[in-house]
Parts: sequence; C-alpha cells; structure tokens
Amino acid sequence: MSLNKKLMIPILCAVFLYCVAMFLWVFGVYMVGSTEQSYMVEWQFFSLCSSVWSLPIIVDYISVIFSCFVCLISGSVSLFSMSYMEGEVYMKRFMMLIMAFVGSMNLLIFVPSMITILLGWDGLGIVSFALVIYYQNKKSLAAGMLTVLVNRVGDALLILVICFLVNWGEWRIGYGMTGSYSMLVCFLVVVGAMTKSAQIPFSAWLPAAMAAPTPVSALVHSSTLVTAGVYLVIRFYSTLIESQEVLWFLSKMGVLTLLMAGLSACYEVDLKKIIALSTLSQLGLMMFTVGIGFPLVAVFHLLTHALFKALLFLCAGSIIHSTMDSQDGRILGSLNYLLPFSSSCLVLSSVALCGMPFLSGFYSKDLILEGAFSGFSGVLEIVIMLMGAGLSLIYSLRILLVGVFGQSYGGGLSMYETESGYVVCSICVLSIGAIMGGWLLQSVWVEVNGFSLVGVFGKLVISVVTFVGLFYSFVNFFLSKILSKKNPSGVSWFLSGMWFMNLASGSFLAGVGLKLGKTMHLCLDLGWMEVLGGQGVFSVLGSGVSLSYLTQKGSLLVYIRMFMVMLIFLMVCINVFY
Amino acid sequence: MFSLGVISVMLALLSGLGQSVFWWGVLWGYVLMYLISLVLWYSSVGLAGCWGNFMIVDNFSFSLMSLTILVSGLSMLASVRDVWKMENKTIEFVFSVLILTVILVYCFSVSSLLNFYIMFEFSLIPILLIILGWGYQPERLQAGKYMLLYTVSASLPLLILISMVLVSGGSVFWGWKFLSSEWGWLMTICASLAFLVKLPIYGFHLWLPKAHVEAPVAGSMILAGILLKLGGYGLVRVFYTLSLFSSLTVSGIFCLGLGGGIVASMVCFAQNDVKALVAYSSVGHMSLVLGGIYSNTEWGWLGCLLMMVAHGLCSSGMFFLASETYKFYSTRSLYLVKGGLVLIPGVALCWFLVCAINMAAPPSLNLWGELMLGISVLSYSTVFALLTGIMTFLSGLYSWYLYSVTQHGQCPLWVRGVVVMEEYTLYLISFLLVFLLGVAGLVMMSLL
Repeated sequence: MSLNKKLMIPILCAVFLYCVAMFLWVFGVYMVGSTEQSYMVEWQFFSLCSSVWSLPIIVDYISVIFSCFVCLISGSVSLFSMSYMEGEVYMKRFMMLIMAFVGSMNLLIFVPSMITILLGWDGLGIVSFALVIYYQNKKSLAAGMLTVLVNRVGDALLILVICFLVNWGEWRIGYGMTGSYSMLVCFLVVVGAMTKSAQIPFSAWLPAAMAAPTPVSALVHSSTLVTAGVYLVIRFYSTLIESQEVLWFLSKMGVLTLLMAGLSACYEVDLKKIIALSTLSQLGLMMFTVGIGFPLVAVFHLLTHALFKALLFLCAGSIIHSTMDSQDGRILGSLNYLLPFSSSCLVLSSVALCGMPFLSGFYSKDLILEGAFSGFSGVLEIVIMLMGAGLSLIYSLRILLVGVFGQSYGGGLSMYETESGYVVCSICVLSIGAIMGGWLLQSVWVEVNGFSLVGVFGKLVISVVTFVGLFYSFVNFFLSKILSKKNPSGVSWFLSGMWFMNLASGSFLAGVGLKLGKTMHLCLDLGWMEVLGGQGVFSVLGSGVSLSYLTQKGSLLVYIRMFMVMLIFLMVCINVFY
Repeated sequence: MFSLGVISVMLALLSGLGQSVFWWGVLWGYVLMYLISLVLWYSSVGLAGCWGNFMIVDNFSFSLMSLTILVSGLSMLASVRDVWKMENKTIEFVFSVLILTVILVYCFSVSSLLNFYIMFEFSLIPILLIILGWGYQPERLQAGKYMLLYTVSASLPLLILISMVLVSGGSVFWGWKFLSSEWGWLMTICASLAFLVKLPIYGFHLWLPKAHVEAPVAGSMILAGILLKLGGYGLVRVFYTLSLFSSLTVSGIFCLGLGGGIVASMVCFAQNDVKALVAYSSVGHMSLVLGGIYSNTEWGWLGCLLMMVAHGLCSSGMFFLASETYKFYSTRSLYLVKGGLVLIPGVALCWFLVCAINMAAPPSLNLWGELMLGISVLSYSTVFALLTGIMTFLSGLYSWYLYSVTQHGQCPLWVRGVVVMEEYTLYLISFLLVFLLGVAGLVMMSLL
C-alpha cells in the first residue's frame, strides 16, 4: 500500500502538468493568437524614490508557448521518473524538487521585470543544485558545486544590473529602454545569460551536471534551465539592440561555443555527456541567432530543440535504466535488437536534431542558416557556424553508432529489461512533439517564420552543410581505425576537454580560491591582527606591568639603581639646559 | 513601552512559582511582548512616536525592538534542552536573557546619545555572563576578555566625544543636529570606531568568532541577532546627530569596510568550525550594512535596516541549527559533520532554507536588503560594483559550501541516530514567527 502511495505522486504531477500544458495550448494560444494581443498584469508592492517594485506578468506568444512546452516536457519527465526512480525512497522529495523547478521556470517565463525575475532565476539555480547533488557521492557534489557557483555568478551579475537600472528608474524589461550605463547594463545582462546558458567561459558546468539523475538531466539540463539565459537575452533584446557591440560579442561567443561543443561531442564516450555537449552546441547556435538579430527565430529553435532534446534524454535514460545503469558508449551496443522502441526513438530524435527535412528540427535550423546569410555577420563567423552546424550531424550519428548500432562490448553476462508502460507513454508524447512540433509552431505562429533573402548559392551551401556530415561519418565509421591513429593525442586532449575549460574552471579556480582563503586566515586573522590586536597588546601590557612590579618590589638594589639612573638623568638635564 | 516594563516585572514575580512555570511563563511573556511590539509598528503619527523626552521611536527603533524580543525569545526556546532540562542554573539564565532584552529594548528607544552609550556598554555585562556561565570550553574566559576589551576600549573615544558635544552644544538629543566643522576627521573616527568594532568590520572583528565559538546557543543567537545590530543602529544615530560627513575619512572607512567584507568572506572557507564560519559570514554581511550607512542615501538607510533585520533572523537561525547539529554529532568540525540529509532530513531542510536565505535568495528579506544596499553603494561610487559583485558571489559560495559539507555525503557511524520530536515543534514555532515578521516587514515597507 505504501509503495502504491509513493508511486502515485509522479503520476499526479504528470497529469497535472499535462493538463496545464493542454490548457495553455488550447486557451492561451487561442486567446493570444485570435486577438493578436499581449496582456500584462502588474502587481505593485511599493514604490520607493519613484522606483516601482512590482511583479508584472506577461501573457504573449513567447511566454504562453514556452510555458506550455515546459509543462509538457516536465509532465513526460515525471511520468518517466515513475519507472526510472522506482527504487527511490524519498520519491516525494524528488517530485517536490521537480515541481519547484517547474514553478521557478514558469516564474522566469512570465515575469518580465529584472527585480522579480530573480525569483525564478535564483530559484532555478538553487533547485538545480539540489537536484544535481541528489545522489550522495563526491562526483555529484563536485558537479553540483560547479553548477551552483556558475549560476551564482549569473545571479551576482543580475543583481548588479538591477543596481545600475535604478538610473533608468525602470526594472521592467521587454521594451526598448535605454539610458546611462546602457552598454554596461547590456554587457552584464548578456554575460549573466551566458552563465546560465553555459556559453564559452562558463561551459564546464553543463557536462558536469550530468551527474544528476537522468530525468533531471532531461528536464533541467536540456530544455529549461539552460535555455533560461537565451530566454532572458531574447526578452532583453529590444534594449540590447541599442548597443551593437554587445550583440557582436554575443554572436562571437555563441558561435565559438557551437564549434567547441560540437568538437568535444565527437570525442566524448559517455552517452549522457555527448547529449549534454550537443545541447551546449545548440545553445551556442541560439545565442548566435540572437546575436545576429533574429530573436524570434531563436525562440523557435529553442522550442523545437526543447522537444527533441528532452526526447533524446528520455531515450538515453530508458537505455541506461534497461541496461542496468551502463552509460558508457564503449560498452553499449546492438540495442536495436534488444530495445527496439527506445533505440528507434533515439534515432528519431537524433535525426530531428540534425535537421532532417520535415521533422521539427528542420524548420528552425533552416531558418537560422538562412538568417546567418542575411544577418549582420562576417565571413569567418559564418564559416565557423557552418562547420559547427555540420558537426551536429556527426555527433548525432556518433550517438547512434556508439549506442544503438554496432557490437556490444559488455560483459558476457548482461541483463536487459524492457521499457515499462510509463516510459513508452512519456516517450510517445515527446516523439509526437519532435515530429510535429516545428510544423505546428510554424502554422500557429506566423511571425516566427522570419523573412530572409538567400540566393541559390546560399541555399546550396545550407543543404551541403546539412548532409556533408553524413558522408564524413560513413567514411569515419568504415575507416575508424586508420583515422583514430592519425589523431595526435595532444589535440584530441584539447578538443575532448572542452578546450581545457573544465580544468580551468574546476580544480584550478577552486584550488586558488581555497589557498587564498587559507593564507588570508593564517596571515591576517591568526597573524597580524593578533599581533596588532589582542595578543600584541596583551604582551606589551604584560611587560609594562612586570616592569612596574619590578620597581615596586621593595628591593634595595632596585631602588639604588633607580636613584642612580635618576641622578644621571638630572645631571644630564642640568648640563644641557644650563 | 510601558507595557513592556510591566510584563517584565510580572515575569519577575512569576519566578516565585516553580521553575517550569517560570520558564514557560517567561517564554509566553516574550510572545506577548512581541505582539505588543508589533502594534508599535503602526504608529499613528507617521514616522516617529515619542514618549516624553526619554524615548523616541521611529522605524529603525521599532523594527529592531521587535527583532530583539523575537530573537531573545527564540534563544530561550533554543536552549530548552541545554538549560531547562539539564537544570543548569535556570533562574540565573532567564534573568540574564531578560535583563539583556530590557537593556537592548531601551537601547533601541532612548532619545539621547548619552543614555544610548550607557545602555550600549551595559549590554556587555549580561552577554558576558551568558558566555561565561553557560559556555562549554575553558577558552570562553579568553573569548569573554577579547569581547569586553575590544568593544569597551574602542568606545571610549565616543564617550569623550559625547561629553564634549554635551558641554559645547548642551544636548545630545537624536533629533537635534550638532554642527561642527573643526576636527571633522577626528570626530568621524571617534564616533565611528565604537560601532565599527561592534558591527564589526574586518580588522576589528577578532572578538567575534572567538565569542561565537565559545558561547552557548542562546549567547550566539543574541550576539549575532541583536548585539551586532547595535553597531549599525548606533552608526545611523550618530551620523544623523553629529552630521559627520568628512569625505576623505568616510571614503577610507568605506573602502576598508567593503574590502574587508570580501576578505572576511574568503576567510570563511578556511574555517573548520561551523560556528566560526557563520560568524565570519556575518562580518561579510555587516560590511555591506556599513556601506549603506556611509553612502548617506535614503536607499542605503532603508536597505541597512532591512539587512539588519534579515541578517538578525537568518544568522540566529544558523546558530540554532549549528547547535542542533552539535547535539547529534557532538562536534562542530566541518571534517566530521557529514551526511545530515540521511540522518536528520528535517534539520537538513532547515539548513537548506537558511543557507539559501543567507546567500540572499529571493523572496527573502536579505535579497531586498542587499539590492537596496547595492544600489546605495553604487551611488557612492561605481567602482564598488566590482566589490559588491564579488561579495554577492562569495556569499553564495560559503553558504552552499556550508550546506554541502555538513548535509551531503556519508554519515559517520558513531553518530547517535536519535530523532527528537520536540524539536520539530520548535522549528514550527520559530518559522511561524519569522514568517510573521517577514510579512509585517513587507506591510511596513508598503506603508512607507
């Protein structure tokens, strides 16, 4: 009975979330779409020195559809965790954390004010910390600390933004405000968003956060938390456009992240980490899209990406769960015979990820590539972007080749389960999303289509880029032994280690910081401050007291000496002054 | 105010009845006093209410008075086990806490600088008694000596300044402004030094970690929750009365305070005692309060008030949780206290919440305080943006460090696996009261 009671919780959450998603899709999209209007409700707490502290809630296309997708994905994830977390004792705690996460994500989505968006923004960081350190081992603790600290950098930057925005007397965002310190504010917002979205100097936490349970990875580190940064930049875009330099910086960082993550994904062997790196490269693509001036296309890609990436994670989670917790790509294999459903959905989502025509990834990716040709960007940037986009096919195929096809290198005695009904159900829902999502969105939301002028050459390049990876991968697959020997180890170390970013941001910074703290404690608190403060004063006073005690001890010798000293002093004085 | 006095007299009469009646009677008296002090918040005259010449109450006073009563009551509640159940000098303990409360309430409401000074010094005696009487280690003697000598010797210049002002100006009433242009820098230093040590800013803080480590739980809670706030309150009052804005000196102390806050936050990770870590974290937070006052803006003063109230609640909560953890593990060493999440999930949840509040997670009062202080500090100079940002980051760092070190990982085998039910009621009551104060704070802010 108690077991059933425990298992009821995820189902209830899933039903609730599906209902909310349905409600938002039916009523929200209808309401916003039919009247072509956005609504904003504002609750003012108080106003101090003519700055208004308020909680605005915005209902428009972006927020309604994004929230709908978040609820859909999190409903599927709750259903999935029925089976994945079946051995969990504290199921209630786990589901409460998931629900807290969904709640703060929705706060982030619906609140377009810098000061109250912190509710969702900080909440996401804190809850994701609690979820990453959910398993009680050192590796997940290290990953959790890295996650929460990078997120904390973002919080600190947003707090600074709020402090600077007082100059404008306005914390609400979403319409083109500008004022003094405009450049600085934009820069801080963009860098804060880059921490959440794991762009280049802050990338290390995203693959590390894969230490979380897989449902959490599916929800948190693929479709919601990491897209919060992109979402903030999109909301803030109307102000960002006033300072082009910041957008320039954003697009460069985005395209570098795209390339870096794509290359790293080609070297990684852990199944979950490959998917995390592919998420990272897609985030780079979104940031790049915002940077070159297509925020709505970025939203479109964000939404379709959320669907197929959650599907990818759930399939991977199902594989991990069914093969008794093995997620190493060197061990997994020949799953197409053992787990046909999960592996076929894995194939589906990978194909959607690399932009197969008429699956959901195709619509948004094609728009981005077209936009790149007509946006504000240089040749080098476009070449790098095309390379990064081409890499997406290679690492998608890699996921399939290491995971699904090929030979299994596991031990002789291996156990396999089949997927439970909950898993099948949740994966089915998301597969429909991954197939239909792009088309549906494009048909309800007209503005998202964009308008870019691309010549025949550009269109040709796009299709070549989309499919050239396929050719390369086949070559690589059949000649893998020859090619792998040619790789010098230094370069592969550099590429697989995310350009050494995980080394720099992990143990290096922590070591320096801890050592500095220790040194300060030893030198200042236990050193100079004691010498100048308590202990020093005590020893000075002590020697003074003992001197005074000596003079009053009553010894004749001391009195005679003192008398002699006084006498000499007196004589010297007399000699000097007279 | 009068009723507070009446209640304390009645409580004294209660001491004739048995010990447990006395103990719980006093506690309920605290609840009553707290409710009455909330009534003071809705003063009909607007900002300030007066009771004769002796007392004057504005929003600084009454919020800190409520805080005092709340934290003292909670500190008694927290030491139910240590003092009342162990019958460890119960009557003396209650009287020390009660006298301390009354002194502090008067301290926050008297209208003259001289009276304030006397109460300020007087408050040292009961807290010293609490530390020496109910502390655990022999080192508490040294800690008490440090506390006494640091604070008293630093406040002597203030006494001289007050008597000089009294002689030359004739009054040291709050509302009255004393203007003097001679020796501005010396006056600023004399007036600030006492409060800088009490606050404390980094450099004058050596007494604080020592006192916290040696104090019993009630002592730590009161020390962190209220006594540190005397520093901030005094600075506000003195600055208003003496109108000290010697720019160079103020800038110097400002920089030292903020830089010291960063150093103190970094020293946090070098600690191996839970209580010492929390003590250093309050040094970091208090440096921001200093910044808010010295920036001399409306935002800064309000933010300083919010931060003081929020930090008083949050840090006393942290010390309470540290003592709860100590009861289970019989140690406070960060190397040994592990795996609280497995052993005591309820306490672990409280730790999580309190750590989140300590790093100023929304929607806690700490965040709004920190935002206002950040705004006022930046208005003084934009250069401080860097310092404020680093301090915000570091506060998250040490809070989560504390949480993850104590609550995560493998629980040591020698820990007593006892879950004490009565503590849960305690948490419930304290969180209820804290929540009430938070709501009342919001109401107050919206009325302004």
